[in-house]
Amino acid sequence: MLTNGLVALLASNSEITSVVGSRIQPMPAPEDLTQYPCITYQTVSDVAGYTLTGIDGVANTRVIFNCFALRYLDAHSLALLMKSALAGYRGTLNDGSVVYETQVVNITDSYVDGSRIYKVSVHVVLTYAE
Amino acid sequence: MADELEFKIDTRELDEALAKLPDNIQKRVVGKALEAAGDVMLEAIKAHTPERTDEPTPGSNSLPEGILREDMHAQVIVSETKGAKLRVGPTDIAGHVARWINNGWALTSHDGRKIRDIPGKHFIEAGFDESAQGALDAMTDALAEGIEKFNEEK
Repeated sequence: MLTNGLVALLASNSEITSVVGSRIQPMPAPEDLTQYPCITYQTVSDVAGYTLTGIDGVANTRVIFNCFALRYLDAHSLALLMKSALAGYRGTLNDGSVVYETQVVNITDSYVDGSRIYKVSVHVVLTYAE
Repeated sequence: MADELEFKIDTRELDEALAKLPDNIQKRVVGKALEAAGDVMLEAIKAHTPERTDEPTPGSNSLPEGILREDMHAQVIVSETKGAKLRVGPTDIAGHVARWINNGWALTSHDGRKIRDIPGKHFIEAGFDESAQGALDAMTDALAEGIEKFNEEK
């Protein structure tokens, strides 16, 4: 599964793991604030390409990585580390997924005023072999 | 919504053909092309827009079932000076709720303690990603059709 490969790629990045350790998980974010900073991920679209005879073997998927932290700078810096790690990535991930192109198409800040948590979302669109 | 999605296309040949049209016809053709793209994108986003399934609390001011989807609109703006723009998304009626549902939020107690994270459904991105190519095709087809029609009537 592509996201497993992506998580492994991020987990091999020492700059990212120096901030979050191994706390990269599927949504939702943990309830325990001692588990922050952390990264969650979710696939929000996975659109296959088709020809007249069926799937053409190339798909585009959007994966959103949410960087959570108790301080704005921590969350945003983490998002920029993610951008640096993923933007332009091409290659074969360790789960076997072949990625042709990776674009970080958007980074958005948000703040949860009740619990005072900062969330910076990194929108990543990957073109990969199905 | 503040978060905007964008795609870029190479329309140089169409631009050249459009530039030969009178200004008022250009605006009409571009407007209709964006409307065609907006229709495709709106349909996909509406298809992904979630409906509430819970029982509304009596006396609450929460939005009724179905309004989030019905509130999705496509708007074409053709400006004299700033080019043309297509916006697809909710209006002021349900925009605040659409943002929560799309982007997610954190459920907190009255004392500010985080209870749990509610991940966003990102239905707007899903609809956009699914329909971007179709919208692009619809737009370029409508542009070409508009130009051809004018040239035939000339």
